Amino acid sequence: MPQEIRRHFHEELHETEFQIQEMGVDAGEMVARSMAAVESADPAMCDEVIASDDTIDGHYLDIERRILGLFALQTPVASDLRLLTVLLHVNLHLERIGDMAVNIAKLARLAGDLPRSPDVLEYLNEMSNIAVGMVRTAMDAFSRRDVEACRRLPEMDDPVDRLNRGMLQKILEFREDKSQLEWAIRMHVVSRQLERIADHAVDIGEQVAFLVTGEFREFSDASHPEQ
Amino acid sequence: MGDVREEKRLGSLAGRLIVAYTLTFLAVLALIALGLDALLDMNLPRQQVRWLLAAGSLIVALAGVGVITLVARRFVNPIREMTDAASAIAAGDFERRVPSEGSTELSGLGESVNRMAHELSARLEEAREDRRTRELILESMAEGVALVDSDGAIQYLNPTAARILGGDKPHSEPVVSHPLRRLANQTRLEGAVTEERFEVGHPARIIWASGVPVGQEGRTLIVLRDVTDTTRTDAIRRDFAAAASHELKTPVASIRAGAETLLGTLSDDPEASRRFAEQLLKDADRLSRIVTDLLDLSRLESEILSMEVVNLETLAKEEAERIHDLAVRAGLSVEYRADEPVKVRGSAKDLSLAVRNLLENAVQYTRPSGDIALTLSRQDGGAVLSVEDNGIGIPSKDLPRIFERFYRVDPARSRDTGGTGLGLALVKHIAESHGGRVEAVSELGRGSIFRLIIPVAD
Repeated sequence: MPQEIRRHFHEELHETEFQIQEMGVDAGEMVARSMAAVESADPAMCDEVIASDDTIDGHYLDIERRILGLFALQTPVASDLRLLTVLLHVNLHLERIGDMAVNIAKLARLAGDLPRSPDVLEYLNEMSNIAVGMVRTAMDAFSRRDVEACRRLPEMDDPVDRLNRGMLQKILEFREDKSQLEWAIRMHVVSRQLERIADHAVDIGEQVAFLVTGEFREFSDASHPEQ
Repeated sequence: MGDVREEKRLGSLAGRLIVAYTLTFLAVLALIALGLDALLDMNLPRQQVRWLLAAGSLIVALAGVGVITLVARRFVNPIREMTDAASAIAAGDFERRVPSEGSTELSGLGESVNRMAHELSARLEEAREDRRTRELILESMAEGVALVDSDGAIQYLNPTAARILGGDKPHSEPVVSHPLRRLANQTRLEGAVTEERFEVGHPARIIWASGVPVGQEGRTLIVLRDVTDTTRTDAIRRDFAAAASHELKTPVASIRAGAETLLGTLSDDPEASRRFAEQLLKDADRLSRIVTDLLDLSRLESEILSMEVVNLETLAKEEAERIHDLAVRAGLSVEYRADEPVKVRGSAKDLSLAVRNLLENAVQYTRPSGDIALTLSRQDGGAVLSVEDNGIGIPSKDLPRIFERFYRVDPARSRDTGGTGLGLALVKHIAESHGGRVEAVSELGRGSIFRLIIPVAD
C-alpha cells in the first residue's frame, strides 16, 4: 500500500511539472502576442490577449491546488520537497508574467491609433524578444535541471534594464512634439512591464538553481545595482 | 571441451570410499580380534578384563573416527573448492574455472560446470557485441532518437537528441521535455505518425520532430532534426531574390520615369527640368554603386587572392585618416590605436575596402557627439581589426542576419542615406577569402563592435 501511494505521489509530481511547462509556453506566447498587439494597434488582438489570461489563471489555480494536495498527501522527502516549493514559486512567477502581458495589451488598447515613433517601437520589440527568450531559457533550464543556463539569465537581463532606463530619455525627446507624447508615455509603462517580465524570468532561474544546488542565492540584488 | 589432466585421475570416489571404510572396518576387527586373543591368554580376573575391554574399545573407536574424519575431509575439500568456483561463476566471474581433477564423479561435475561457464561467457560476449553495435549506430546518427513512454517520461535519448534539446549534460533524473511529451501525446491519440516543429533555446533553434507509436505499452519513438540552418538558408535565398530584384529595379524604374518626365518638361519648365535631371543623376549614381558592389562580390568569389604581404598597421592608419573628415562633419570622434605591428598575406586593396565599409557604417549609425574607435591587435595567432562605436546598435533578432546581401535592419533609414545593402556582405567575403572571419557584437541603444579577424603571416 505505501508503495502505491509513493508511486501515485511521483506521478502527480511529474504531471504537475508538465503542466508548469505548458504554462511556461503559454506565458511566453502571451508576451509575444501582446507586443504584436502594441505594434499593430489592432483592438481585436488586444482583446484576444486579455481573454487568454483566463487560461493562465486556470493553470495557476489548478497547479496550486495540486501542489497543496501533494504537500498533504505524504510528507515529501528533501528533493521532492524542494521541487514542490520551486513549482509553487515558478507557478506564481508565470502567473505574474501573464498578468503583465495583459497589462501591455490593455495599454495597447488605450494607446489605440495614436501617432507612434518607430524608434520607441524598435526598443520595445527588442525588449520583448529578449524577455520572451529569457522565459524560454528559464523553462528550458528547469526541464534540464541546468544551472549553467540559469546563470546566463542575469546577463540577458542587463540589456533589458538598460533599454528600460533609456526609454525615459527617448520619451523626453517628445517634449516639443506633443503629437506622439501621449503614446510615448503609455509606452513607458509598457517598457516597465517588459522589464518586470524579464526580472520574473531571472527569478525563475534562481528557483531552478536552488532546485539543483539546494542553496538559494539571488543572482542580482536590486539594492546593489551595478553602476 | 574438457581438459583431462591425466596425472591426477584417481578413479571413482565411491570406490575409494568403499575401500577406505572397508579397510578401516577390517583394521578395527583385526585389532579387536588380536586384543581379545591376548586377553584370553592372560587369564586375568573378570573386573580387569572388563576394564581392558573398555579401554581397548575406546582406543579403537577413536582411531577409527580419526581415520574416517581424514578420509571425509579429503572427500569434502574438492567439493568445497568446486562450490566456491561455481558461486564465483554465478556471481559473474565467467573466466573462473573449476579444478577438474580428483575422482571420476567430481572431475565429471567439474568439466560440466566449466563447459557451462564457457558457454555463458560466450553468450554474454555475443549479447555485449550486439548491444555495442546498436549503441554505435544510435550514437553516430546525425538525427536525434528518443523513446518516450506513455506518461511522457523519456526512456532513451541518443547523444544527438540530448544535444538538440539543449545541453550536453548527463541527466540523473528523467528529463521533463514539454515538446516531446506533447508530440508523444499527439502520436498516441492519432495512432499514426505525427510531425511537429518547435523552438528550443535562446537564440532559438528550430527543431523538426516526427513521432511513431511503438510496442504495446503506448510508447513513442521520436526522431529529431535541427532544421534551423536549412530554414534560415531558405529564408535567406527567398529574401535575397526579393531584395535584389527590388534594389535593382527601383533605381532603374526611377531613372526611366525621370528621363521621361524630363523629356516632357525640357522646353517648358527649366527649373523643374533641373530638379528631375539632378534626381536622375542621383539614381544613376545609386545604381552604379550597387553594380560596383555586386561586381566586387562576384570578383571576390571567383578570383584567386593575391598573396602580397600587407602591413595592417599602415593600412588601418590610412583608413582612419581617410574617414576622419566625414566623421568630424557628422559630429563624431575617431580614435585609432595599434597595439603592435601586424602583417598578413592577401590583398591590400580588399582589406582596405573591408575596413572602410566598417568605418562608414560606424559613422552612419552613430549619433552626433558619439565616438568611433579603430583598434589593431593580435590574438591567438590572428590579427584583429576592431571597429567599435557607441551608436544606435543592432536589434538581437537582426544581428545573425546582418551579413546577408541586401539585408537591412531598417530599410527606410539606410536606403535614404544611400546604402547599397551589400557593405557587410563584402566585408564577410573579404574576411573569408583571407582565411579569416568577421564577428559582430551589439546592443540596441548602446553600440556595436565589429571584429575583422585575419590569420597572421609568419
